[in-house]
Amino acid sequence: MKLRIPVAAASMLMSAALLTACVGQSTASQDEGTITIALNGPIDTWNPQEALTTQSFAVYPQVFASLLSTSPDGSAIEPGLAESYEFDDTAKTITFHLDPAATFSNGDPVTSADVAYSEGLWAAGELYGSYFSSIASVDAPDEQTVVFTLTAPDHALLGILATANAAVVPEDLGGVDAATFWKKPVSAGAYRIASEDVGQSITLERNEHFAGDGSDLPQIVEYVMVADAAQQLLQFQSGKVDVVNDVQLDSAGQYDPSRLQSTTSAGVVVLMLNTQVAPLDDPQLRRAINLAIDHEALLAGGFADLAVAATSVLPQVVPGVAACEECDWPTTDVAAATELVEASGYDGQTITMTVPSEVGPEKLAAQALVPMLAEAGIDVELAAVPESAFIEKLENGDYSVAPIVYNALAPSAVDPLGFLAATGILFTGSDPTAANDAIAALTAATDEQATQAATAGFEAWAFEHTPLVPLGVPDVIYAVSERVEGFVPNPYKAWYVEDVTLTR
Amino acid sequence: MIYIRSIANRVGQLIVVLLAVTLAVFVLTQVAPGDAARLRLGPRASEESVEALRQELGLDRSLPEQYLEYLGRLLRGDLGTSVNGRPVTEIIAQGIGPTFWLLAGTLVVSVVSAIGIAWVAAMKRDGGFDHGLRLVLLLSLFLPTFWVGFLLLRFIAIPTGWFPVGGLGDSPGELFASLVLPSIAGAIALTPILARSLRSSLIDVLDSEYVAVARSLGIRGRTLFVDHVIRNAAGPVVTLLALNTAYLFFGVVILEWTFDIGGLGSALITASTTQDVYVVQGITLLFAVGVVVANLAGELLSDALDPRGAQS
Repeated sequence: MKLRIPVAAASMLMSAALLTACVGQSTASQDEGTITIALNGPIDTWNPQEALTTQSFAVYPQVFASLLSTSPDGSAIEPGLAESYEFDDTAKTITFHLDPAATFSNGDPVTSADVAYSEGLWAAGELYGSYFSSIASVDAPDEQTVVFTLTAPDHALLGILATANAAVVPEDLGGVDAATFWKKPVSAGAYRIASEDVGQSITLERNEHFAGDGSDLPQIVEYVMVADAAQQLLQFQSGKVDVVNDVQLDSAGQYDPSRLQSTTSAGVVVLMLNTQVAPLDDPQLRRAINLAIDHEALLAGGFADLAVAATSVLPQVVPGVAACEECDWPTTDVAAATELVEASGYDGQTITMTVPSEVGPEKLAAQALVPMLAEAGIDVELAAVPESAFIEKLENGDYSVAPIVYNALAPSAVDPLGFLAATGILFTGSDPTAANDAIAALTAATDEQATQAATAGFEAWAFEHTPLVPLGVPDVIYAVSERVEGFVPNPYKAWYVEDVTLTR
Repeated sequence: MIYIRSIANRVGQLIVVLLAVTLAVFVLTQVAPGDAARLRLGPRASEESVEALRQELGLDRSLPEQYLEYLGRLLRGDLGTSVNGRPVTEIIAQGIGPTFWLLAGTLVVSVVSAIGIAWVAAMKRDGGFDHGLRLVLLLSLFLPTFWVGFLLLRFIAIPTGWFPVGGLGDSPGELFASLVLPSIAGAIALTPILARSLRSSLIDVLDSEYVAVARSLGIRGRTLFVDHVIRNAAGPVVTLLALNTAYLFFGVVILEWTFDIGGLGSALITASTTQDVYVVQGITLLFAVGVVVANLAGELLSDALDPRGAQS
């Protein structure tokens, strides 16, 4: 009698283990045609004009098609729905010739009228509408030809037209109201939305009308939202997930190194210096901070060697971003920094560095900065705040020093410059004129040299006034299982599943 | 009649408590740092858009006005809309299933193992086994749930492949498999509390005169255990379990995060980090109601189990 209950409990547990052993074998197996990709969080919307998170822009390339696309490594612009395009002699007219095979996932052909209608949506977008401000009109002389007339030459526009911000959707949204359409949008990407468990997972299935070569495409793309880095690792190790889209720097060391693929990201970690509050209203002290930082040691310690030196306050991977010759951001000179500190009249008061408490490259970097700045006589203490409070503090100017990572969402320098201009040079209270001037110069640039001159000009202003100090360009790291072939790491964290194949 | 009046009194108290809970939940979400409108629209949005959203969400009104409106919406069954446009009731409906299964699994494993452990400890009281067991139970109280969960995943789920490392399964078999490890991880925190209490109760009951009488009358085995021992020993444990409901809800939030289960706990964490005020309010309120109702149910069940209470 004494042992009856423990024996019964043990029997129950044994039975449970045996049952789950049988069930578990089936759940662990992967469907041969399904690729499962882990994202750090949910997408915020299916409407690219309202999207903010990098997760959204990671999913969009599978569903949405634009006139142009980017190469797998994000460095070159390639044909998309338009198989070719040409500028007129004044570079104020771009004529796109649509691929006759381009078809929406609902079976309707993509026509010039669809493009013209879509352009209206892009330009009306509050967040990204300014990217299309150079477009004066869009004409559709025939079903396969679209003519963009520009107010001024804008070579930066091509990069924008290769992103999901310029997604082409059916004219009049296919006759449905906007709210309904954007719950399950139709476009001409390689996949269409099969189902969505909001905030948890998204299942995409092949678009049988896809104009590209779909013979080797994975049949199903499953996005799963896994916020916890440890869970991402475990799900990858168990084979449940094929690709982890953005492995966190501090957990990368736990992965099998042979399964990691990385490239320099389209982001940059910068130190924001509030130019409106003492003692950082003195440019000498701001300059001293840059000189006091041992940038090489910072990359090794603060970024765990998973970053490269920043040569610009703009994301330097973005085409067109160029460092100015005289801007020696990575230079370390503690003696000079100390002299500048003394000259600035800084009285040794403790300067608070506000850091978002969530794990990120900027948090690790901030910890490494404190002793470096102390060596030049600058006393800094860290104050971690939740992400939500962090953004509010920045907007209210309620901070002195703070690190932040910001990313370009498109392969065009207009994107990060527009962000800097809109935020008073990243919440530093600086005059945005230099950024606006650079945007104007960029849109007017007719060649690569002029484009680089525009960004270098802004860079020179940033170096002289030092509202920002670039700390490093973190790698974007992907964990890729051996099932996935042909994967090329993309700096924008947005890649086309159609570029990879699954092995059996 | 007295018993019914007692229940009515408790339900009346429950309403007052729930009103206090709504006020507490409202105030807590209001004093949290961050501007909900700005967070929803992001740093790229214009100040005009942010201000317009503040007005749309009613954030520009005074706190008493906002609270009264909140109460009014609650009475209409409207918990508001998430920042991504989904009704909070829809989010709760989506997450309540996984959370229920996780709570149920944790409770079942905790209670079954607590009964087994307490029974063995009571039968072998003050022996080496009893002392060892009590030490193990004491130590297990200090094990963080997320850490236990990670170890179970790392050293059981992955090497054996028997259990999924994240999410809940769809079919009954898959659901069962996906609940095993989270339930064990949750139970490791709760079982020691229950087992220690039940062991003491069992020892008291086993030493009681009525059990001695029952034995002398030849009552043995299951009848003695169920009808005379467990029924009398369970009262304090039921009360203790009810008191630990809040802890159980908190544990489920951690479990869902650790095991990547898309229930209310995960939704609460996500909503907290994105300042999704209405979702935080809705789920917190639901958890608070759950705790209050569980306490009431625990009291009533404890009364029902008590032979003296049942006779009155």
